[in-house]
Amino acid sequence: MIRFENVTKRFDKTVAVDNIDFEIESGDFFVIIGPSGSGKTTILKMINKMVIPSKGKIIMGGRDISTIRGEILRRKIGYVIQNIGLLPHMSVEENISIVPKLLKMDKKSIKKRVLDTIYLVGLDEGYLRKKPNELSGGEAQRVGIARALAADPSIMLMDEPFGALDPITRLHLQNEIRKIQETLKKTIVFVTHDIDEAIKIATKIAIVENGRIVQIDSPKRLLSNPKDEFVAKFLGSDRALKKLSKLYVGDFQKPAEFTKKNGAKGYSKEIDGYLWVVDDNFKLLGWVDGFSDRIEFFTEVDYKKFALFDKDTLKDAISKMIWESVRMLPVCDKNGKLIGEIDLYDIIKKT
Amino acid sequence: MINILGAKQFLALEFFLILLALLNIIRLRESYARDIANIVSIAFLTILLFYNAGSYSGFVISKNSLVRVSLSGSFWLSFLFAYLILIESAKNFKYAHKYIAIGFIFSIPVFFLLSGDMNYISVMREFYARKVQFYSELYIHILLSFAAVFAAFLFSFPLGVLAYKKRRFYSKIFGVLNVVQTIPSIAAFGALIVPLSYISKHIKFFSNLGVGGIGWAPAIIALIFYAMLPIVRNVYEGFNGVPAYIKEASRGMGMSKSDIFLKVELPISLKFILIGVKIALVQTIGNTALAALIGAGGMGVFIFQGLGETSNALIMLGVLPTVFLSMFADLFMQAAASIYSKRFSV
Repeated sequence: MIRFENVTKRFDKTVAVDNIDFEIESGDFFVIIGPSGSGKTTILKMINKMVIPSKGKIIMGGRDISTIRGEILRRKIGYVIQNIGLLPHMSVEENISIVPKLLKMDKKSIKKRVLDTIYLVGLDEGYLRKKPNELSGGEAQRVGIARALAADPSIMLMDEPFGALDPITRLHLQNEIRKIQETLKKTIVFVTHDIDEAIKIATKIAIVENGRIVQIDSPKRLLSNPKDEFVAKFLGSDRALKKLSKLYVGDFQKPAEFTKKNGAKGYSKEIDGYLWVVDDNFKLLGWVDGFSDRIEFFTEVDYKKFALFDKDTLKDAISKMIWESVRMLPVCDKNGKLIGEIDLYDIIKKT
Repeated sequence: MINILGAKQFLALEFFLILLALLNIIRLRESYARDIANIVSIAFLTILLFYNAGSYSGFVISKNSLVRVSLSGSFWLSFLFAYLILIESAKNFKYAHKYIAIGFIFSIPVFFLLSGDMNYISVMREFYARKVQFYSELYIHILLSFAAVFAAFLFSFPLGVLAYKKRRFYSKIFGVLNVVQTIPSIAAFGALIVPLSYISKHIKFFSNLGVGGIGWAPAIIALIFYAMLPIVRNVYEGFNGVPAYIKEASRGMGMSKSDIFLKVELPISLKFILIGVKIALVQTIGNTALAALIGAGGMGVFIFQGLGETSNALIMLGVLPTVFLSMFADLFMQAAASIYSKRFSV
């Protein structure tokens, strides 16, 4: 747990951080977001004493960090920056072992940590002997994350770590850091100016403006209840759509109306509208208009393209509805078995 | 004397050289094969130059033993162009191959000199007449220049680091060193005569050491001052070139200031520092030739004596070793910097 108690930071006369008071709980994926110059990086850097507050206290695990020597504190906290900062004259392995070596861990456990972390970030042993200049941007940042994880810190600080990566690599790394955080239960404090990134990975988001924290909330709550005009504006006019990206099809689906391909012939009398057509194993085959079509002449569809899956977000659902020009879509499991359906009307009404 | 080259072989060699030159013109595309062909032709050219000079001087001397045979401008120009082509061709080679090629070409003159084939050339006659003095002056020359650069490094490294770490010293340090650099070296030697004479006269310790208004003391002091600017500048530039984010990441990982200095800043800037030492060394080897003016010895002794006697051969006896010493120092330090840079990818 990290507590900021009335912390202020001044650089000469400008106030970078203005009397902030908040708490980061253990295991949070805590994203600090704000426009540039808002003081978000300064807040981050005060946690590992790269920046010393002018006023106030920061308590970490019950201890005031001003009583801990900077180097000692920093060795216990993972640190990742946008430019990565791998040491160019050291191999990947040497780079990852920097902090374990500073902590005077023995050789055997260093080697083990290096192997553990390199696999954790999705690379393999083959990378250990490479030099940083042989890595792509994405690989280098993976190594940067491995290096920060090497000494198994309980807290990780990340300062716009994916800012310089191409969109696809960034997406991959966002997913992976999320996964790492969920499996290892690290407390991650993450600075970004990309609101989509924040909504995607955070469990808590702190919005910073002019050195003050405007609102701290979970992404979902933030999107539904922005505290003021600034937050609403920052979240963007499409914040309803952003909110949909935090909601899952599985939570909004309802039982589907369907008919078996072999079970019925002729017109369906029971239903006034569309029916999903399935085979004997409930695998989705297509759909039929209950009024006008004979069931044996149903419209065939490929479930992989047409159906939604319960892990999809409502944003995906809406997007697919627009693409297919329908207001209702089937929900399948990964084998194509029909498990429900989702209606545009329900999405609008319930979110 | 080498007798392997008769008239026929000689002609064959020249014919071969022309062929290689043609090959160079035809094969316009840059290629490894062309570079090798160039180096082979340089080797043949060097052999021809030296063989020609040696055998012709032998021939002339056999007719009249009082004649002096000197190498003229065309010999040196040919050798200079050969050297330029060598460097240009070898630059595409890998490290080891590059130095093997250069070493191979330079082994040819060495071979001719050692074989005694060149003994009738006037430079060599001057050399044999002053063999003992030549070696002792060469030793003094090397000692003076290397000691000066070594001492300059000891002073310059901390100054370079200071200029980098404390900005307010930057302009002071470089201000002084830039002014030093503008003083003509002869003037510096002269300016040191008075204070050093005074010191040696009044302080027994220094006069016992051999410090005096003339001799090695003013020479090495002036040489140290001249060698400092390139080293301080490159130490400063080297450290200044370490990207800020690398330092930030290192600090963020919990490295102490001394860790960052030794494990991050120094290794990354070392290539620059080595190049600074290289520049200082090449420059100092040349400057040391002037030290003879104030009685410090070195190859300058022959140069100034030769100037006094208008003896080209004697001047050459002083100039050639100075030039080759510089070239060797340049190649050696460049190789050290390149190998370091490749090994540690900085």
